Amino acid sequence: MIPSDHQFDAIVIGAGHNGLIAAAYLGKAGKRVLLLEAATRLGGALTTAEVSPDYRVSTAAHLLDALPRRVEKDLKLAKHGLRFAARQLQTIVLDRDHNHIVLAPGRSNLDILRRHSTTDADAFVTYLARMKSYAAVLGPLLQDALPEIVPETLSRRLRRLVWRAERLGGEKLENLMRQLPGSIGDMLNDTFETPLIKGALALDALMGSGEGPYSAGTALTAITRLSLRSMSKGPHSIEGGLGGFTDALAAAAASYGVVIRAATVVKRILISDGIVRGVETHTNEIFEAPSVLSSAHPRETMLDLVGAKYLDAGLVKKLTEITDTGATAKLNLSLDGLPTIQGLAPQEYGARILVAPSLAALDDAYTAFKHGNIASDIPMEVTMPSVVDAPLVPPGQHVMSIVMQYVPYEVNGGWEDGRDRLVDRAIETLSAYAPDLRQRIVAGELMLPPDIESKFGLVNGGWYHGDMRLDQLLSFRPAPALARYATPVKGLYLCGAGSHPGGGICGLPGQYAARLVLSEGGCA
Amino acid sequence: MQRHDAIVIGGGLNGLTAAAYLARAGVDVLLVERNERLGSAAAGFDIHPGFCMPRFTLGTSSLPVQTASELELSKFGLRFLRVDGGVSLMEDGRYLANYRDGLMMRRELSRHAAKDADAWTRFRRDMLRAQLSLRDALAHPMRDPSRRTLAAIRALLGDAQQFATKPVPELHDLTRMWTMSCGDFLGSYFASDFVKEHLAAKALAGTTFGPRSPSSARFLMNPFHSETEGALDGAPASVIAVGGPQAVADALGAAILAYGGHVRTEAEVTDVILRDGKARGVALADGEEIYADAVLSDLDLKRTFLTLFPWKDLPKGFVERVGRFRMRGVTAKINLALDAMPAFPALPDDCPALKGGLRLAMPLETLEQAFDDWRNHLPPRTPLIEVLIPSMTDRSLAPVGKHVMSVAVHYVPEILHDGAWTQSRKDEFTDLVIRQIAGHSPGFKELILAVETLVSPDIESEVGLTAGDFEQGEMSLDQMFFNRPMPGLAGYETPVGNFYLCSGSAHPGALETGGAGAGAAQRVAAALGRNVVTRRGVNA
Repeated sequence: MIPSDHQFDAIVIGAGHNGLIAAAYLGKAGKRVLLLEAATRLGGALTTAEVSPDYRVSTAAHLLDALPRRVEKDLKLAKHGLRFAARQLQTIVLDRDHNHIVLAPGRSNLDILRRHSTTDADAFVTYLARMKSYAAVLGPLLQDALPEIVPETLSRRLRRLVWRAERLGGEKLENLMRQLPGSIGDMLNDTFETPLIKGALALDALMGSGEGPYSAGTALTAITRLSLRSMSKGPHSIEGGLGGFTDALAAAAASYGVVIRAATVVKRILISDGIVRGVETHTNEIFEAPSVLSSAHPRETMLDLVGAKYLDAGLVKKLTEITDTGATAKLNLSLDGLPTIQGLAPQEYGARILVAPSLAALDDAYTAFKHGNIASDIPMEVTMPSVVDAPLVPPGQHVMSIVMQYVPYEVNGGWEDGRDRLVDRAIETLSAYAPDLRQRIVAGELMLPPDIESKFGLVNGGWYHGDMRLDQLLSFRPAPALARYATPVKGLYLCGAGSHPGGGICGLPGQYAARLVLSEGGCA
Repeated sequence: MQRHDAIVIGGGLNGLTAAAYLARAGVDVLLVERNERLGSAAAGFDIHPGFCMPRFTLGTSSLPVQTASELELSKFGLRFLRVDGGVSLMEDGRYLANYRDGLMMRRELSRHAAKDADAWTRFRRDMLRAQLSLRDALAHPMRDPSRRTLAAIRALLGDAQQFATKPVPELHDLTRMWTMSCGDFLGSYFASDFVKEHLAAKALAGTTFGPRSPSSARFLMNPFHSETEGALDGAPASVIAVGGPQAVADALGAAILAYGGHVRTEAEVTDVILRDGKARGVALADGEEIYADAVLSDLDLKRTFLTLFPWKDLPKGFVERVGRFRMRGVTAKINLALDAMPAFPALPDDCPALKGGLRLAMPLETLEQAFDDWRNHLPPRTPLIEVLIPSMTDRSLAPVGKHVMSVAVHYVPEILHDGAWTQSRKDEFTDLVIRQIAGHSPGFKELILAVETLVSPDIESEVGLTAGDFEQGEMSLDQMFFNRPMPGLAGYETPVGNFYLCSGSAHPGALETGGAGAGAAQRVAAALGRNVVTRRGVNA
């Protein structure tokens, strides 16, 4: 007999942002929800910790850039403590000659761009408009839950898609047709002259993916990303780092009565007669619920927690074929003062800073990555959150948060020796712009792809629970038979980044899965 | 004044195919070829007195048997031989042969990994299925989504609906096939690295993709282009035309004449004659003018528009768009006359698959490195080497006991990072390739009677292919189907009235030899008020 405090309407496995969001939505609808997290801390890869005593920073992910405003409002996150340290951060691209480019329209920004190339300023305005219109064509596919494959809805959707495409007009449509299947590099080469802006826009599109700037399909990656991001008008910097966002989600969930248990590993999902019954934890505790939602990796959920014997062989194969590519490392630095970046205005130090001098540099880094080497010029995204969020650090001190792109999971010669080389290269790369950086460093921590894997359960250190490639998107995410959050096990749902529309911090898999559970009345 | 219904500029396989279909439909067509022999890249030559071989291509035939039978090329002397589909050799002496016979193929694969024999059955089935669905798609004229008439939009919607209502698993398979990398895709079938290397080398030869490039998996289905469902259940055959690719060109030339068309060789077209923005004929190098109602170009897109027209007569912005069409040389050719059959001690005696060619396989990581070297314009270090000894199959090519060897070397840049190909660079390159072959064939060097090396610039100047690109435009997804050569021009028409593109720069490009010629012929015949009946059906 299961005690009543072990019986719930729904159990959510994993308290990353998707799990938290799913639990909160279910709680808000009046369901009794249990949220179980294996780690001692909530939030998955969205967490804030100390680099060194008193210097705090977002450990892994460091910007919020795709959370729909709708979710923020639905869950009253502001009331539950979500504070933006800075909204809509500018993106600044560092230039060796100190003519840093601001990646946004506006007269003064375009004037700087004109110093690099007379035509690129106009090209940039055209490019932004064009990308926005592409994102508008494809956006609804990503932002909405997948349409049911019934002829009426489908043909309505298709009519809308073709209509949206046709409304682009001749030249834009021809450009879209030609560029969509291609690479971001070719697309940018067709548009711009300045190596710097091409490098930056390519890095912006490729950050976190394992593809190179000339890999087919990366133009689509760029548009996909833009359309997910357009939901939040980000990127935003959060007070207290991304751990602050997790805290707000947890507070919202708790306010709706969600019972949250950390440090509780789910050992298996209990099933009888093809229907989910609940879960069993590592301490052999049993919790019962008619609905179980898992935000773990789909393969882990279905093969480890459910077990292959409940699935047909075709699905098992599809699950084993999901690829995760880790291509980033995170370097967090405690600094005893703000480093001087020549040519950067004081108010610009809080921006999102990109280091990507050219497509060629990006391509070289990608080639090194492919062959298990450390690139000589490491593309990176840098923030100094303490500039906009002083309480993170002691007065006068700072933290720097660096995402390094194209760092392989395994390096030739091993990470034992590779760690220092990588850090050295990264600091060397940055020192070209901030000559005094090295003197400012008081402490640091490096998270390599294997560290990201072991710490956050992200396979190979990939960010997305399945690479965001065309064969793993939309109705194929995570596998055709699992694309609508429901699984072959009645009452079991997927609600993590491995489900449509996917990773990035958008929270939609969690929200849509919760919505499905509620509409199916599975919690009754 | 000479006048015809239609003129085809260039006698490559696409131009010849176009002219043959037009002539058969009763169109008065003239084909004009710059060189003495027909065939362009398919041409053969005498490398040494008494030794004849394909000069630019490896020498296996890719003209679909359907085209050959539709044009009744057998009547004009064309004969195809099907042989076992080649063998891969590894540096360490292991080999893997392709057998047409299913049982032999299973046994061969089992030597490397027992499970891979079963995987082969699935792989073969899936590749055939993909190839057949592609063939279906190629049988219809390509629809152009940028054509903005109500009827066109409605048709597009119909296509989209038909596509999107396919079962999702089928769509998933299609998407995987067309977007995944060759390496990842093979990994979902096979356990043995060598089996993957064997299949990848064959698929990627001549492409501008590496084993880890997204969208390179689709090349795996290419070797199945002439296979049929029933066949022998083994690996796809190599198809060799008796007399080599030159014989295919000559048979097409004979067919054109027999169907009432005309052929002129050693006549170079220098200009297209324009009146009121429409093509009215062509001017030859010697000043002669020939007039026609339709002009077709078998030259690649760049050569066509950048050399045959005054740029000012082309629509605004068009020259720039032509300039952006990506053409890249990736294959060099080494031709050899040999005093005797070279020995390959690693292979069993009289290995029948050797007739279908020999590839020097390498680990996918090394192959990717070769691809990266090519992208970075470095002199090749570990290029992908494909060898065919056509005289093993066709004894007429060399004196008794002697042989010709055709070597296609892939991932060879058209220009080097530090400048053009010099003779000494070419010599070093030739030595490297010969050394690599000799590594598997002791005494190979001593057999060489004559050798010729052609890198991309040589191929460009001899054949006229821009950048030496045999695909006449990179076969990347953004330059295929309705994007080939560019959106708005997928129907063989061009911005110049009465002027059509029938070369590999047009759809379906390298997907089907002669396909663009057949498609363009269909379009031109319709414009001239005739019907060409090809398996493509009648054009809208």
